[in-house]
Amino acid sequence: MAYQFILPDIGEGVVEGEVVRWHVKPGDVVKEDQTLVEIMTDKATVQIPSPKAGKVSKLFFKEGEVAKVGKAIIEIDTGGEASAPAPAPAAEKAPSRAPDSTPPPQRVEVSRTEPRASFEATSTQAVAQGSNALVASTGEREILATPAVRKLARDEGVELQKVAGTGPFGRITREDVLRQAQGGQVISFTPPPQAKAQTTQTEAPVRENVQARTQEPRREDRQDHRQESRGNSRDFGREPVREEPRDPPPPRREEPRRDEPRRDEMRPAAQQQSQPAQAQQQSSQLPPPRPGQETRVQIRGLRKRISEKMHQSKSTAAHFTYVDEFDLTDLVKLREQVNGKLAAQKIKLNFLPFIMKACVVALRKFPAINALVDDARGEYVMKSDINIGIAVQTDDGLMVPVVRNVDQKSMVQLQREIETLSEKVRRRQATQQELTGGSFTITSLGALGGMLATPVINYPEVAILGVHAIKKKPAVVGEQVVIRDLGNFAASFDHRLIDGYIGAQFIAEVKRLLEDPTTLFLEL
Amino acid sequence: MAVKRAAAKKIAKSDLPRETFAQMTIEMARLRRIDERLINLQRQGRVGFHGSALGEEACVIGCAFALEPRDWVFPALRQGAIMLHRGFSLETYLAQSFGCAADELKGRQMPAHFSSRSVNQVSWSSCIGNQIPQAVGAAFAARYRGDDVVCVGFMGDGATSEADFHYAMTFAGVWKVPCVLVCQNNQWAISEPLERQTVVTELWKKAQAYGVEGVRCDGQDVEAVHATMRRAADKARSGGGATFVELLTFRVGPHSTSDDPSVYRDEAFTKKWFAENDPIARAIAAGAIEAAALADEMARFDKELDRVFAKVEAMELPSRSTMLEDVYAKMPWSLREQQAELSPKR
Ligand SMILES: Cc1ncc(C[n+]2csc(CCOP(=O)(O)OP(=O)(O)O)c2C)c(N)n1
Ligand SMILES: [Mg+2]
Repeated sequence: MAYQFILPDIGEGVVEGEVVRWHVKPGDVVKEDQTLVEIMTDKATVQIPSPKAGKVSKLFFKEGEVAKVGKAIIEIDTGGEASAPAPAPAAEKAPSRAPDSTPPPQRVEVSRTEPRASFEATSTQAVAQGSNALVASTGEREILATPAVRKLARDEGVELQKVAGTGPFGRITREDVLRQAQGGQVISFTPPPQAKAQTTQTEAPVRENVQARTQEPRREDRQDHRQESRGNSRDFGREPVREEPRDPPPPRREEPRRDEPRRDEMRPAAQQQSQPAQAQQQSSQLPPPRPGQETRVQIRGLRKRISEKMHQSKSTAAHFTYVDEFDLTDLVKLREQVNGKLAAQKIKLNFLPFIMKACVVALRKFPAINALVDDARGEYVMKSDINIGIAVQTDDGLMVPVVRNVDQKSMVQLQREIETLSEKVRRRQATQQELTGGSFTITSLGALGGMLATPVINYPEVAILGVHAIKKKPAVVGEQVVIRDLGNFAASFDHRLIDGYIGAQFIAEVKRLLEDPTTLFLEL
Repeated sequence: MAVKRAAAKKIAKSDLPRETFAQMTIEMARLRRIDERLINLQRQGRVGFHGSALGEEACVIGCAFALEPRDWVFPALRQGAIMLHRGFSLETYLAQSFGCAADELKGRQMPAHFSSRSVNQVSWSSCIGNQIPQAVGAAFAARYRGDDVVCVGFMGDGATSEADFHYAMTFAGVWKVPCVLVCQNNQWAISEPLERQTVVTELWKKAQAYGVEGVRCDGQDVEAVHATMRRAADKARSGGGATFVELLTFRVGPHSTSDDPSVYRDEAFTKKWFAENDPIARAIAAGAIEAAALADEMARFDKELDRVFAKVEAMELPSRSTMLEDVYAKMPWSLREQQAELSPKR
């Protein structure tokens, strides 16, 4: 039988070696452990002893030539038949483990190219072969995933068995899990016509429905996963602690996901239109915990994003808030007049378009405020476009759609756009485009506006304007106390970039324009 | 090259029975054989690494014979064979170098990093000097618990220039713990000769600075090593505190299978030195055993090695599920999940 000796890694991480001197030539009879050759590597020159006894039949390299680790350098005829049970080096055994390998009668016994010495090669090989073997024997796929990916899968309620791994040897990557979690398959899913019709009629929002279709069969254990993983996230090594009431079933909440807008975009048009009104279905309302118990819900989806963004803003921007009281009596009157004229068009302006327009004028005067901060690069970015974000409360949490180029739009256009955008975000239909690109933000709680709040900047913007309730209040005009429409305006600025003086001037400008709306029209 | 000959003061040799001396010589020869075989296997790509005790066998075996089985050994690279003296199975021992199923360490350690709880021999970290403060700490713990054990920390000459040496010696002195710190001074730390490692080349003198007794002994004389070590261990056992033992020897072979000493030293000198100071030849000359008897013994041992090597080499690797074992007392879900996914066979 012909035995080929493969050049091993004779140092630590050696990749090739020069044949310095052959101690044998073809035809020589060699004993086991007899020196065959001297090999020089970048680490050492070593003599290589023969692993087998036999007759040298071939030398594959001449003296002075360089052999790569893993290449055969010499062939020895060990006598006997191919089937003779030779004490095989460990690495040679690996392939025989694949159950379906019916080895043809072998003429050449080759010591594997992954000798034990190269740990990496051997172990990777073993893994690959192991997984193939498993496929062949049980038809089930062996899952390769790192602990971090497994944890992610748990948290996202993704079953690894169903994820196709795209990494080396089919390893499941983080991205694979996220793709699945974001309904990677949902996109290609076309509901049968019947189901589609149903969707239109049912009360469940499309988003939930789609998700339910793909995940329905394992919703229950998905819930289980989450509970358990919650226990584990507290202490990875410990058994999950279940505290939730098991009966009735624990509160379930289909969280909106980050990619929601994109997914919505890709939804077939028919489904988009079939959007039902009951957005409350996805409400975050949780049943109150029973007495003596607590309800725990993972902070996920939109809530998680809000939490991250708020934290980032508060821990990055140096907030200061400037407050002033505006006398909006004239604006209230003007608005009434305007709305009287618009009644025929079935549109009603609220205060926001006026405030936005006042901001346009003020932002033009104080361009430092229509800006972003790029902390990664230590740069301050002033914007030419005036794109104003409008804070909108949805059932799942706060969202900020952006009205672009506010300076170029009429009040009516602005009002319409605010309405459509608000509705879209409430239905979770807003596109990524509609949710990004702002340069300044206005937050208003409308009638509920209270007296004073300190708005959190929509980072990386540098300023936000908070509008409070506009109410009839006693005010001093001249020497008289009279009833006026008063409202507080509170603006927060990033003091790293905007000094108090500038901020105050900006608000004074907005105030001037809104208190005397005729000037607003003059300066637009 | 000014290499110190073993001009150490000799401690009076104990009244060692001849059979013991013979047995020591046999164990030295076995150690040499194991080293030769493992180096060959490494050259053939069948094990990944080896570090041998060639020429230093008397240090290893002399110490092994001087200790009680209950004593704890914290070895460096070259003292693995103390385990064999303590009755550890040759097969399990060699399996470690292959990292195969019979390896008690489940293939997790680098080859030639032998250890087993069953024989009180601790795993070596590969980092030079780590084991010596560990030995001192263990000795402190032993005394605290009232255990009648001596903890022995081994090191090379190079380790005496490591910070860990300072920590170990400081506490060994302050605490007067039952330990022996043994420096197998083979005069090389890979390619660095002793006189370039440290100015104080008489390493035993370093101990004085820490208030620890320092002794030097001819490391090629197995009887002397045994006597010196026995004395230090007895002293530790009887509450006399730590001893630093310098065993003067010479690294005859390469540092490890990843080294080629001809690049940085005169190998003709090495050859000559070894011819004059081979500890096995010395023991035979001192009448430990007849050369022929030793040869017979070795022929038998070679056969045993043939058998054991063939067996462990043919073994499967440790099952993959062993990767998930031994970290947690109770396996968390993340590991249980993976274990369930592994094929039962592997
Ligand atoms: C902390 C640390 N530094 C460097 C090394 C690299 N290294 C491995 S062995 C060695 C020399 C050890 O020499 P010595 O202590 O004399 O022991 P010997 O190998 O000669 O027995 C070095 C520097 C290491 N393993 N650990
Ligand atoms: Mg040394």
